This record gives sequence, structure tokens and C-alpha cells, in this order.
Amino acid sequence: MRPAHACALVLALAGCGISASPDPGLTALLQIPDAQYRPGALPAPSGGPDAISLQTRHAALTIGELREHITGVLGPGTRSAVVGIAGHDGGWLLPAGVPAFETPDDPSVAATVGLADGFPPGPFTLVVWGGDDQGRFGAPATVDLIADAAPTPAGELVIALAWDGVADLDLHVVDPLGGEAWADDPNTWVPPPPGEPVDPVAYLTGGILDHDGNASCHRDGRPNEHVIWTMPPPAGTYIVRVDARAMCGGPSEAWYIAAYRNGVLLGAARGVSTGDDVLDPHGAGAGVLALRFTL
Amino acid sequence: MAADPQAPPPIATRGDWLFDLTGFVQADAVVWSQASVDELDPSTREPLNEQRFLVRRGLLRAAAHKDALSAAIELDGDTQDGPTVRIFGAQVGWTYAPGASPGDPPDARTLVAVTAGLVPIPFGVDVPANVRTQPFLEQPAMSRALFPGNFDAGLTVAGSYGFARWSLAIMNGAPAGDAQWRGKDPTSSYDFVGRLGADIPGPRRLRVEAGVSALSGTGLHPGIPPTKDGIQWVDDNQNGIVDPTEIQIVPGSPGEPSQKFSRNAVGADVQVHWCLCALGTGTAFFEAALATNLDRGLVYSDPVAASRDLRQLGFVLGAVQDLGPYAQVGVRYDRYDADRDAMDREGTALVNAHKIFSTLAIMASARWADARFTVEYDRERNPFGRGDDGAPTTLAADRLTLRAQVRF
Repeated sequence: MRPAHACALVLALAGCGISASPDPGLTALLQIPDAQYRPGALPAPSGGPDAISLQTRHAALTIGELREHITGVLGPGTRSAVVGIAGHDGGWLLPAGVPAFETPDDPSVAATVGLADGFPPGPFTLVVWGGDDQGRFGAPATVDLIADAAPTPAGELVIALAWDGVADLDLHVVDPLGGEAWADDPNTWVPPPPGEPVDPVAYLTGGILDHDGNASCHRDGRPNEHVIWTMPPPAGTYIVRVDARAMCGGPSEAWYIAAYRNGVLLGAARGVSTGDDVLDPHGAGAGVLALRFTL
Repeated sequence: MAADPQAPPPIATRGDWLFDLTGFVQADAVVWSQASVDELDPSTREPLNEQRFLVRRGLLRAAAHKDALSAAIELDGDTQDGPTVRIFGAQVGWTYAPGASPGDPPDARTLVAVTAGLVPIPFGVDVPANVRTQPFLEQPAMSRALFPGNFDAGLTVAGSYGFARWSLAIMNGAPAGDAQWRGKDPTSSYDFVGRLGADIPGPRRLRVEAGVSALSGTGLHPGIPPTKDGIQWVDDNQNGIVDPTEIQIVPGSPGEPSQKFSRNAVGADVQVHWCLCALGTGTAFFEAALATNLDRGLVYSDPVAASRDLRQLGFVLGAVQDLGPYAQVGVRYDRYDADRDAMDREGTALVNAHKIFSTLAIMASARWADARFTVEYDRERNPFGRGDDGAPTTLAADRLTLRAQVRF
């Protein structure tokens, strides 16, 4: 056997061909879970089947959210689909799906997509290419969309807690009237004693906790909590505390507190919670002092 | 693990009992890995970095012998997934070796050896082999899939007569490295495993070993416990608001019992040993296995969940050659198809999508006294990626590894 033949035999045994990248694609501007990241330049038409159409449910996507469902129709003979953003390297590879009822001869593609935090706000074009069984691509289908920055919670007074880990942290806010809003009692408004009439909309005068982030160690994508006054807040001194309910396996948790009055920053603070903080009580009045300010 | 043929004299005696304490440490450095990424696995949150130093194995074996009786326990530590120590093997045994003398090799005149405990699975050559003396850094995919961990709890009867070699075992059927049951047997039935072989000497120090192996056993498909009613929000219109029509009731289910299924395997192996005067000894080897529902390590076989039997086919072939007393080189190719009937839908086409793992391993090592330094390049193919043609393809995983091993 000649050396060249022997070499070819060895390579054939080893299995030639292009390997897929192990890069999970977490730095890509477009995110598609359960698809394979395809780094490098997006495909160029090379004689494969043309993509027919690409649709989204909304014309605008919120940056930092992963919730938009896309569907596409691909030309006959398509085996794979690459989804990407025009003008940016890096796409996501998916197998072509079964045809939709309305297009029985055309394979489909469907995925849930999202835009990474670093995505620039403004217009962009989402593109899909179809590939055949030789890995050749045809003309793409596109859809023009708008990337919107995530809106901050609207309110007269907003106190925000944000962190980036697995821990279950609780925001506690005490208003000048002594009411405290936190996960187990989410409104600073104190109802009147039993027997006294209750104003049915009086609860709206309090600061209300929007949700419990990482509740019971069920991790949110990007955990945060807000206490929001939608009506003019009472004048006086506000106390903001952060309680570490559980570390949920994490070693420590860095957090960030900010208070906004009609969108203007009143004050901010940073801190770190550790396992020692979990040992403290977790009821009303719990937590370490993070911020104090006066209106 | 089989007794070390080059074990030093016993370290202690008490009455008629002889005690040995031996071991080895393998320190690895993965200097290059295609699969290495400084990120976390999105699902498991485990680091994806593979370029690192690690202790691949640190094994301590304590053994005791008295006439025909023996006992041994082996502890194995490693840092693959963080520092850990576990029991690797533990056996009690009785040996009947008429005519044997203390200087004989361990298996030379053993007519019958009965061993019970956590013992090597007697299937083929690679699975029960001694990890201290294996020339390649890791086992082939076939062994890692069909017999993960190499050891299982059970009773083994082995022996030799003339050129014949035989070993039969009744075992739990849950190997130490079983990905689902982690060595704890889920069924009351046992697996029967055995190998019949021959060791035939030839002229000019040529020696041929060959054998056939078989396994018959039972696996378990785990049932599901009863569940309660639940609710789930499905954002049908994707407006981010919980609309009344988007709350779905997930009804409770009564649960399902576990189901047993049968699994089996047959295998064949052959090794040719030679001695070249100028270079030293060498070995060429080939081993193959055909199995049904037996993968317990890589692509776990559950024919109940898959609604069909899962058929596996694997083989390994290679050669190792000494280059004088201080060096050795070797090459090995292994290929394992974890599901020979797998299909994948790509668009309107339904295509075969065999789950194939293969590795071409090229090894060179230097030896001095009880130390060994090995460098190995592994070219891996696997079914975890997807290519531009939509078909499964390799997720790049080639690597270069250095290993220093010292035994004592």
C-alpha cells in the first residue's frame, strides 16, 4: 500500500469532515436555546434551496428577553436552517422541521429567540437560510424588526434590587409611615383595623413589591425586585434593606440597590450577602441596611 | 482488578496471612482540547474547561492472602469532577491451583478461582484489564458505554487448564459507573456474563490469545410517581401578560410502574503477542461486541422509552510495540455505534442518524523503573454536533494529554 493510500485509510477510519464548534454561543447578540451555535460568517448562497419566508409575532423585540417565537418556510429539499442577524457574524443551526399544513411540500423552521443584553437598540434584520443535504445554502428570507431597550418600571417612586446569581434575596422597604413591603407582605400600605371601613383603592397609595425574585431558589433569568409607588409617596425617610433568604448553593451574592423618583436617581448602594446572612431571621424588619433616603 | 503480576513482596505477615499494600497515581495534564471553553454548561452549570491538570486516578490496593484464601480492597481517588474517593473494588476469593508454586504467574496454574464482591466484569479483554498496565490513557467508547466502571458486584468463577481460559460470573447488572443506577442494582434478577478463550503459544515467542464472550441480563425502565394537578401559563399571544385563556390545567397522573427489559451481548477478541529481539515485545489486538439494550454509559439504553430495542455495535483494534526497555508506542482505533437504528427527521426527509463514537489514539510513552510518562493524541468523533447539511456531526473534541504515572 502506498503511503498516500495508507494515510487516506487512517483518515477515513478516524472520520474526516468538518467538526461543529463547541462554542455555546453565549456571547452572541442573538440567542436561540437548544440550537447549535455556528461561529464565523453567516452563509452565502451556494446553490442550495431558497428560504421562502420568515415570520415573528411582533415587530419589536425587547433587549434582554428570550420570548419571541419565529417560524419560517423553507424551500423543498431543505435539511437545515441557519438563523442570524444581518451584518453580524455567528448564527444558529437547527434541523429543518416537518412542513406546515398550509405548505405540505416545504420544510419549516421554528424557534424561540431573544436578544442579548449587549444588543444595540434600533432596527435590525433577522435572516434565515436553508441548507440542503450537501450543506449548500440558497437565498435567505428576512424580516425587519426593532430592538427596544427594556423599559424600567414606571412609577412615582421606584426602589430596585438587582443581582445576578442563584441566591434568593428579598427586598425590604419601610416607608415614612412605618409600613414595610417585602415578599411575604408586598405592600407598605397598612389596612385599617377590623371593623373600620376600607377604601377599595387605598392599597394603591402604598409601595407594592412587583414580584419575588429567585423565590424558593427557582432561578429567574436575571433576578430583580422592585417596590413601586404609582401614586405620590409620603414624605419622610425611607429605609431599604436586603435580606438573604437562601444562598441556594451559591457562595455569595453581590447586589445593587437603586431608588428613582420619576426616573431620576435618588441614591444607590452595592453590597454582598453571604451564608452568614441566611442565619438571621427573615420576617418583617429582616435584612441588612442598604440605603436610607429622605423625600 | 486482577492481581498485579509484578507486585513487590508482601509488606507484613500475621500468622499465615500475607499482606500487600500497593498502588499508583496518574497525574494528567490536558494541554490542548478542542472542546474546552471557558464557560459553563447552560443546563448543568458545570465548567466546560478541559485544559487543566487533574489526578486521573490515585489507587490504593490492600490485599491479604492465606493459602487458598484471599481478600482485597481498592480505593480510587480522582479530581475529574472535584476531589473524590470511592471504593473501586473489593473481593474475597478462594483459589484451587494444584501444582502451583510461589514463583508462578498468578493465572498460570489456577484451575479454579472463585471471587465474590465488587469484581471486574469478565467480558472481553479490555473491560477486566488491569488499569495500571494499560498503555492507552482511556478505555475505548465501547467499554465505557457497555461496561462503565468495569466493576460490578457479583460472583466470578475463573480458571485455566492447558491453553484454555474461562471465566463465568453472576452479577447485579449495575456496573459501578452506570449512568442511571450508579452501581445500585434496580432489579432482583441477575446478569450472567462469561468468556471462553484460549492462550496458545507459538514459535519464536509468538503467543495468541483469543476468546468469545457473552452476556444475558435484565434492565429496568424507571416508572413515574403519581402527580398532582398543576397549572401552567402559556403565553399564547406573547404579550407578556397573563390572560385568562392562557392558564392551562396540567392534570395529575396516576403514575406508571417500572418495567423490566432484557439485554444481551456477544463479543469476540483476539490478541497476538510477539517479541522482536532488537526492539522488545509487541501486541496487536482486536475486540468487537454486538449488544442489545446494554448501553449504560454513553447513550443510555431504555427500550421501553424508545418503544424499540436499541442495538449497539462496537470494535477496537490497535497495536503496541516496545522500543527497547524504556519506550513504547501504540495506535488504537475504536468505533462504537450506540444506536444502529436511530433515525432523524431533517425537513421532509427521514434519514439514518447513527450515534457513532470513535477515537483514533496515538500514544508514545517513556518508562523508567516504576515511572511512566505518556503523551497521547486523541482524534475523537461523536454525534453531538450538527452540520450545515442538517445531519448529526462531530462536536469538536480532539485533545492532547500528558500523563505521569508512578506505581509503588
